[in-house]
Formats: sequence, C-alpha cells, structure tokens
Amino acid sequence: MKKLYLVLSMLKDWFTREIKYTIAVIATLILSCIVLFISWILLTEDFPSSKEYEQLKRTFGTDSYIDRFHLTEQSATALMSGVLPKIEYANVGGYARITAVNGRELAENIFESCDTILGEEQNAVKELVSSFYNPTYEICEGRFFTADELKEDRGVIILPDNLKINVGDMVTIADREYEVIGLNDDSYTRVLLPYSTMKIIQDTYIEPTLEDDYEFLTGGPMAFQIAHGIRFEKKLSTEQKAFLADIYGRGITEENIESEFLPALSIGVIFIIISIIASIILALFCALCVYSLFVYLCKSSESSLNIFKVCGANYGTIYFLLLFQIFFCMALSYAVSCIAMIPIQQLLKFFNKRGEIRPIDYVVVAAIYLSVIVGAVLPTIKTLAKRTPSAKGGGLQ
Amino acid sequence: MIEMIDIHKTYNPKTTYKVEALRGVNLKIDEGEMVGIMGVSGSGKSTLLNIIGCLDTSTKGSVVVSGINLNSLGRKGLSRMRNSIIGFALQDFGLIPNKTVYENVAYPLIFNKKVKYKDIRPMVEKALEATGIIELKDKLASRTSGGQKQRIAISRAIVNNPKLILADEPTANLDSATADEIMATFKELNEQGITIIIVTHDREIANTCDRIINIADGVIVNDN
Repeated sequence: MKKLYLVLSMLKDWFTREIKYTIAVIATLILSCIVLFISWILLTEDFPSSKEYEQLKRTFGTDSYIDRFHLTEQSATALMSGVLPKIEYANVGGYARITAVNGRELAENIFESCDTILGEEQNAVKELVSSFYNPTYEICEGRFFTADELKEDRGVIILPDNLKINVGDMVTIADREYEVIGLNDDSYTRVLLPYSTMKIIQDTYIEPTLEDDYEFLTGGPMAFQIAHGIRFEKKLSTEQKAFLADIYGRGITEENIESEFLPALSIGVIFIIISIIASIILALFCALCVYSLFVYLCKSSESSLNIFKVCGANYGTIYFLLLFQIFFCMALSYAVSCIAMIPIQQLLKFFNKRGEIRPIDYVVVAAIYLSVIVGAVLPTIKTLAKRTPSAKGGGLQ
Repeated sequence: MIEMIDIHKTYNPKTTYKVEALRGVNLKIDEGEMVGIMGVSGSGKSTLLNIIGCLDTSTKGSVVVSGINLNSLGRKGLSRMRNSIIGFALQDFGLIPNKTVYENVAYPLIFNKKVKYKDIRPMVEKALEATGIIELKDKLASRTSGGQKQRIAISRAIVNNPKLILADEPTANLDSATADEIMATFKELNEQGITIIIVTHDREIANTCDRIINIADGVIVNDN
C-alpha cells in the first residue's frame, strides 16, 4: 500500500509537473518501438524469399520479364520449338485478356489449360493489382465492367464483336454461365472476364506449358495474346533478343530491355542494406533521445528523491521508484506501438512472406526494447539512488 | 547520545581540490541536550551535522549515535537511522512544493516499515497538532509562509518520534518573530526529552541552547 502510494505520487509528478518531458519520452519511445518492430520484421528470415516481394519484382520488371508481349503465330512457334525460353508465367493483371481464336469453345479450352502458380492466399496482391486497373479497350456495344463487377463475381463477360454473340446473351465457360454485357472491337478478338472471376477459375497467372494443350493456340487464324507481360524462365540471349526485335519491329538491347521492357529492380540486397543502415541510424537517434529525456526526468526528480532519502528512504526504494516510472512509460509506449503496428503491418505484407506479426515478434521486440532502454538508463538510476542526499546537486544544498 | 572520536572529513581527497572540512573532531552530546553549533561559512559545521545525521560518512574516526556505531552500518542501516532515530529540519525546509502539508509530513512514516498504512493519518495529525499547523494539512507546501514551512519541516522531523533532531540554520530564512516561535517549538520538544542540535550563524539563536560549540577550520575551538 505504501509502495503504491509512493509510486502513484511520483507518477503524478511526472504526468503533471514534468508533463512536457514525459510526453516527449513516451512519443520517442513509441517511435523507437515502431522502428524496432519494422526493422525486426523486415530483416528476419522470410524477407528475401517473400512471395509478395517476388511478385512485386515480377510485376515491375526483372531481366527476364517483357511487358506488352503479344504472342503471334511466329513467336508461339518459337516458344514451342525452343527458340525462345519457356515462359515461367504470364501476368494478366487486372482482367483476363484471352484471345478466343475460335470463339467460346476455344476460350473454354484456354481456361481449362490454365494453371495456378500462386494460390488463393495471394488475394492481397490481386487487390493491389486490380487497384491499378485502367481499361484501354474500345467497347463498341454494351458497356465495360463496373468497379463492383471487377471486384466481385457477378457472372458477366465482354466478348469480341466478331463472335456473333449479342449483349444480353448467356455464354458458358468452364461450366459456368456468364451474361454478355459488352462487345469489344479490338483487333485481337478477346474475351474479357472480370478479375474476380479468376479467383473461381484459379487463373491469376496463365502458365502455358508449351506442351500438350498448347497446340490449339497456333491452330486458329488469329494471334493469341497471352497477357500484357510475360516472364521467361531464363534470361534472353542475344539471338533471342534479335528474334523478338524482328517480330516487334524494334531492337531489344540490354539497355532498352532495362529502360523499356524490363525496368530492372535489383532491390533485394540494396533494400536490405538500406533497411539495416536506416534502422541503425533511427535506433541510435531514438535511443539518444530517450536516454537524454529519461536522464532529465530522473534528475528533475532528484530533489524529491533526496528529501525521501533524508526521510529514511533506502537505496532499494529509490531504485525501485525510478525504475517503475521508466517501466510504466515503456509499457505504455509499447502498448501504443503494438496498436500502431496493426495498420503498418498491412504495408509490410508486401515485403514479407509472413504478412503478420507473430507472437514471437512481440516477445523479441519487447526483449530488445527493454534491454536497450533499461540498459541505457540503469547506470544513471543507480548513481541517483546511491548518491548521498548531501552530495552536490542534492536537495540539501 | 552522540560520541564522535577523531572525526576527519576530506572532500576530493586524491585531487588538487582536496578540502579538509573536519580535522579531528571529538564531541560528546548527552541525551536530552539542546546544543547550538556555531561557526562561519566553510568552518565545517554542516559537514558535522551531515555526519551525525547519517547523510554523509566520515573519512576517518568513529561516530556513535544512540549506541550505534555508524561506521558499522551500510546504506540500509544509515537510512534506517535517518528514518527512526533522527529528524531533520533544514535551512531551505526540504519540502516537496507540489505536495500537500499532510503528504510532506507523512513521508518518514511511509518509509518506516514498522508503521502500518492505517496508522499514518493519526500520527501525521498528531505531529501537525504539536507544531500548531493542523489546519494547513490539505494545503500545498508551496502555498505556505516561511514560518509555516519550517513548522511543516519540524512536524516531519518529529512524526516518527525520533530521539534526535538536527536543525541546519532553521531560522535563516525567517523574520525574527517567526524565528523566536520556531526556537520556542524546539525548546518545547527538547523539554519532552528529544536531543536537539542546531547549526546556526546567529548568536541569539545559539544562546537559546543549553550548550554552544564553536567550530573553525574543521576543529572545535570552543565548547561551553
């Protein structure tokens, strides 16, 4: 009871007489703790192999990724014969851009041949990609998808206008019925399905194996566009680049691959190094601020503590009182930081496979946080507790 | 009550700023005495008081207070002495300004393990009544006059029923009428059997004591 009285009395002092500095301490502690959380999460185990991270790399380009890739009969033959490397995946972005060479029947075949590289757990990435959606198709009849139709499975479809199917007709694709809401007049005859439909058909990425099922792609009279971007399994050789340059009518050199087709981001190692350096600098800055503010707060309490000593308070009591104030501020800051990490971790999901803060992360961060801060201020607390009340700076001077 | 034998106190002993505050002080004070210690600034009188009051330790020599050799005590023992045997009244009153009079007086009881929490209130009220300031108990210490502050300090000094009260220039910041009142309070306490040692510059204040000790340059030059 007496200890509680003392503790509350000192806390009241910190939160009334020294409120400005106490708030500064708590704010700095919160910042330190968040920095520690982010650093720990980004720099631990899963980062380099994070699927989201890989996905981002692939979306924004690597040295084997080609944007706006149109698969012609010529390039399809090259793929099948091995002139071009095997396609690892094709990114269809926010909607399916499947060319129906022979109308709905072929479209059905294409969907059946689709394979999923990433699974349902990649919904976060899907949503991110769909948020960048920007339709470029000319709709000659009917309308394009609404935002809701793109996000949700509403069973609607846009078909090429040369299929002799009208707006309002129902078509069946992969045992599923779709209402035709529009017709497009793009030079390539495409079937457009809302992005959300892909969740049902497991088709975020179309992976032509270039084996069994692939023959139908070259069987029709029209070109087949796989997607707006494809990734080859291997880097393109000089001959392969020349081959593609011939198809697309422009040269694909190492330079323009990087600047036009392949905006290469070798962010892996650089990102880690920058993260480490930034974390260290921020952590040192925060520790220094916390240390200075804590020492100030402890010293501002020294005259009261000296009076306590004159009244008979022993070393242990003074030590406990100071330590309690610090623990209280730290616990408060840690709780606020944990709450603040809820929205922050949504952003971290794109850099870390885990996409969540595990209980062990809370424990590790708390342990580091506690040992660093307490370690920094403990010598000052000990000195203040040990110092005789009549010493220089004491309340009796 | 107090026996000091060959007490030396040196500040910064191994530096060029070495100061010998006390140089072989021998002093004996009996229980129930009221002693005034006089001396100019820097003579060593406050150092002597701090050593008797367990606020500081001597560099050499032995001090026995209330039968206990202070040299044999650790930090815990010294704080226990300060808490239960000795009461302090300081020149600047030693009060926590943003606490109430009640809270300031209660602190020695809070640190006294033998006193239960429920007993604190009656003990504080008794001490405040003894010094005539019971009506101030809920007032903030910062909102009291100089004389009242010293009475609060005296209340705090006596709240634990100490055997010894040490007062360092207790009237230095007070007008003469208030100083007389404070000295009268000390006299009353002394009559109840409490040993009182008062450090002062003021000859008149010292004259109210039974015995006056003069210190100069760290040694006792006169004791009568």
